[in-house]
Amino acid sequence: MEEIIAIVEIKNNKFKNYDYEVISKARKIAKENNLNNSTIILAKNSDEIRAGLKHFQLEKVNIFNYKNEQEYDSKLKKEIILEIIKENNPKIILFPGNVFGKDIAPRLSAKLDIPLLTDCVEIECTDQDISITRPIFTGKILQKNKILNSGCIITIKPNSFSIEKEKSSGLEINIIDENQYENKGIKLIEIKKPEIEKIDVLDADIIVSGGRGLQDPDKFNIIEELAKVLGAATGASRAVVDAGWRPYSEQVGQTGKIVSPKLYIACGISGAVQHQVGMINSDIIVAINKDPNAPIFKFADYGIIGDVFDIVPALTNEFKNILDK
Amino acid sequence: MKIAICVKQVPDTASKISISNNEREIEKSNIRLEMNPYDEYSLEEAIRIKEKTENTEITVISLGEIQVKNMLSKALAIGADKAIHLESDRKFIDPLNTAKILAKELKKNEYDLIFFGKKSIDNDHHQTGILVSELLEIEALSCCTEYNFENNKIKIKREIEGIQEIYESKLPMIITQEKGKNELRYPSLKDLMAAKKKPIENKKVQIEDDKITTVQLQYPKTNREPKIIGEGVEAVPKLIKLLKEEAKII
Repeated sequence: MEEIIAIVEIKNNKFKNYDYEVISKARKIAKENNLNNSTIILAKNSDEIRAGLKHFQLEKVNIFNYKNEQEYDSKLKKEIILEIIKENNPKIILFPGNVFGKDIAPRLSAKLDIPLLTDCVEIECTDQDISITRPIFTGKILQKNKILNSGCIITIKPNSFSIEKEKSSGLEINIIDENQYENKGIKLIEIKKPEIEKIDVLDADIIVSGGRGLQDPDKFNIIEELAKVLGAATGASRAVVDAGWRPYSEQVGQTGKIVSPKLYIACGISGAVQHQVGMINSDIIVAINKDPNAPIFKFADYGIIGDVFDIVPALTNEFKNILDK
Repeated sequence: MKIAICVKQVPDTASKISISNNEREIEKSNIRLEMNPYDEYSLEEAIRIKEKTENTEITVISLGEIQVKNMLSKALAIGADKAIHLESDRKFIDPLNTAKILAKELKKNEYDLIFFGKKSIDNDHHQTGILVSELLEIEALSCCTEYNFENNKIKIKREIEGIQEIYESKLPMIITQEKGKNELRYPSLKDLMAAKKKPIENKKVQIEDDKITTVQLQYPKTNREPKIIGEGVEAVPKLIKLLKEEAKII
């Protein structure tokens, strides 16, 4: 029987929502189409990893036990996966659309000679064919594709599918401890974690972003204070990143990060199309801008016209009052 | 050192993207074609490497229809030494097909370093460079920003999920380029004139049948009802109330 395989990598014992999305979606497609379903997890094996799977009635779980999370480059991870799936007959291989999925999925695509579709938001699978919808042009357009007489690999755009938990009656977990893998290729020789642990815009539920309306880099303190009170990440428009006011890791937009938080607060950002495509999938968009004609007001759920230097600190105070209670 | 950069022509980021009447293609009128921004960043990094490394030659390679030549001329004006146009007569969408054609061409020369943009901003596939590395069986690293060379080895910096990583690799290898720290350069009139003397080689290519077909393009649906809720600090309590009671997110 054909099979759908979910493949995730877990770091620091912690499943992320996008890992569960992949596991849950694979399970759902398998049930609806009467396919075999297996799950491959690359992680340092632990009680937490096994506990993290208890909400799913999975058929077959392979955990490749990392000796050390940093020891494996993406080529080695590909070899590990190829070895695990060599006897299988995959119809679909699902990956999350995180760095792991983006790095490994193309390698498998080339080696298995089956197409890869990245960042998918809809998957319809029938006996005859597989339809896959994915955003193109940074989300300005949705492209629906069909796979022609072939298996395929899919990476899922985070936050695209619901996580359907099931009652699990115990799992059959196969732990793979292998020492034969040795990294002979690219070596990671240094890691620098930021001194202050910052919330990444891709992980954040709330993002407070600043643009050219902030006038100079020092004045971003009002953005940082509001973000701190909300437990939010700080974001930025391309203009202020290009000007060197903010790091590129904060840039939201076509040539930056594509984010989809629950709440996006845009402060002094005009809302050019290049920025819009990066944040339009936020659940709620709030815009603060002194120009009533700024394009951002055309797609912000709640707009306030006014000076960011008045409104942002007022907002910080209000939130402080509510959240302290 | 021999450097290759694979570049793609895409609609300019400011273009208004609309769907054509057949609902399967992007409307071609009204869009301005440019080099994919991440490929421009690659070209800039390659030129900087050339400025520091003797005997370096930069080749830009592009797969596409006839109008790709304009972009290749511009790349030559910016600083590439030669260009190869892989001309296809029909459209295709499977990135694996693109990768196979590029790999076949790249194999003919012993490039030390091959750059790709981390993705193209039209189809957002985010995979071609890595696909090619597997087809050529050479090392690859994605989303890189800075490079240093020591004793035939390359040191590469990349920033992923807020963490800075430094890697070391042997050559040859494939790099996919993130937006770098360096500012892009623009060609002067003199550069444009000089570029006319640089060669653009044209090669016709055969493409395998796609295993993917696009059946429909659509605009994303939105149920957003944008509204301006007020002016100045007086609007702040109202915003809090709406976030609490209407949006229910705080």
